[in-house]
Amino acid sequence: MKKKQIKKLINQVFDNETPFMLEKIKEDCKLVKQVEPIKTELLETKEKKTPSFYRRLVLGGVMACVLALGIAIGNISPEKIVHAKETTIYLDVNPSIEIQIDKNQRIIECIPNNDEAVKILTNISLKGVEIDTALYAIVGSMYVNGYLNTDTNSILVSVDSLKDNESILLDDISKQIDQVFQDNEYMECSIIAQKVNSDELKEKADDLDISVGKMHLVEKLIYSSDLYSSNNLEELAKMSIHELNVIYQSLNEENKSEDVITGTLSGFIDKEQAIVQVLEHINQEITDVINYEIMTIYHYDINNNPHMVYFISMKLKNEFARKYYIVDCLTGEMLSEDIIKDWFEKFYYFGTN
Amino acid sequence: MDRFDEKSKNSIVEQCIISLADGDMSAMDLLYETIKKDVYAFALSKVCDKFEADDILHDTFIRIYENAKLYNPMGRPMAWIFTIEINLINRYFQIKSRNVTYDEEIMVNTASNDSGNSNSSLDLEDMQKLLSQLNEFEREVIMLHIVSDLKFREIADQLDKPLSTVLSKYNRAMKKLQKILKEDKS
Repeated sequence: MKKKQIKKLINQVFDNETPFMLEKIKEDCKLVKQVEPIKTELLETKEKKTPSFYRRLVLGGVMACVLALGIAIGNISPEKIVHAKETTIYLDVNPSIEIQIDKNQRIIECIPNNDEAVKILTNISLKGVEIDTALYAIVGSMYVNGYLNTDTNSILVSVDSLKDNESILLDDISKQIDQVFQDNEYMECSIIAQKVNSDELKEKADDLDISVGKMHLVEKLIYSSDLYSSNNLEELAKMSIHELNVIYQSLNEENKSEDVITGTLSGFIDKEQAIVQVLEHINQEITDVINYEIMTIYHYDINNNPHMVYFISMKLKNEFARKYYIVDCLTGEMLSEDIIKDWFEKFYYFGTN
Repeated sequence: MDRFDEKSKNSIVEQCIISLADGDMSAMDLLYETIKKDVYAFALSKVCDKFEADDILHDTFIRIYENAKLYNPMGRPMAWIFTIEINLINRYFQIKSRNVTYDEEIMVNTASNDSGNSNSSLDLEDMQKLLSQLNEFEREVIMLHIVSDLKFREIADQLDKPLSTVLSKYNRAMKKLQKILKEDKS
């Protein structure tokens, strides 16, 4: 059954089945005294304390407790015996943290790789703490500091290990991070865990001022996607992990086969939703469309930062010319509509060019 | 309903509320005809019970009348009406949590055990069962978009959720409905 038929069906039911109680309502209204406005302050202009505000408050509280626990464990734990470095884990949200652990999966050192990470690690001493507890504390701190929210989270985990246990570690760490989000039903997160070779990537990553993990992801996108080439290296490096994740999810499975992908990628609209958004905007149904093409590209905002958009070209039954639309991947906002392609090419960068 | 109709619906509803505020009770007839389906479908999507939805429909119109003088005409009367309705529904859930042990799971199970509907036409009971297989948020989005013709952005504002979440829930819910109806048909 097509969506249009379902819509019709639902509407039919409520057309036929909504009870008729007008007379009773009118009778009962006679018993009700209308509320007189005291002043011009009105119902819907009152500032609402939205559920999300409370939710954030509660989540913030929970995360702060977790963070405090992490701090306490870090500072008080009597067992701080650590061995030599065996594995380095790079954690990227936009804060970028390098975590060195020993063979017992205890933290040797946490190194902030950018200013945001300095903020995350301030007042947390994680030396000697087991990695699962440390991850809980770090993710908690990221939430409290506003780098994670309830809807649009992506975490990139990159593991470089001296041992051949990388695959197990990838799996373990992904599960541990995912558990933090599972524990809180309101939060969703998509986690990409990948193996990296720090020695190969360090220099290139330093040149672009990004982490080894992000460098590896960017390279993977360039090598695996037809839309990007090495010319796009700097643009991709400037993107958030969440945006890179949007591109990453569109890669073929074979390009992702070595990685562990956990959780749900939310907070962006997929291609089908972008089409729905356009059709909704122009008040057409999918049956009115003869054909369409959609691709994920990026464009520069007023601060010259690249971010992801869908470029959609569409031929409609009742339109002579093909129409072009641009929809923001993250917000679903229609950025431009009914534009001509020449104009588009002047302002938007195609990765294939 | 096209955009012109939607604008015209908003202005009809707004005018009715203003007339009610002026004491013109005849405006209730037009108001009821114009929005009864929106109010009822949204109530049913939240409470999953025909009789409770009937009560919420009734009480919403009473509250509209009662508060009509407080309405500030800003071209978005449906947002105001849904706010009234949501408050009534919240109150219903508060009372239910104190008094009743009704469990929505029961309805879900009943629905999933029931088969053999012809889906070329459904009655309200079938619709209840169908909707009970969606979660509350999915039901709200479906009702507000399909029955009340709200745009996704308006639904996002009304429910205080990100647009992307609303879009994704809508698509997920439609896919679920397609699947259920397909299974029922076969």
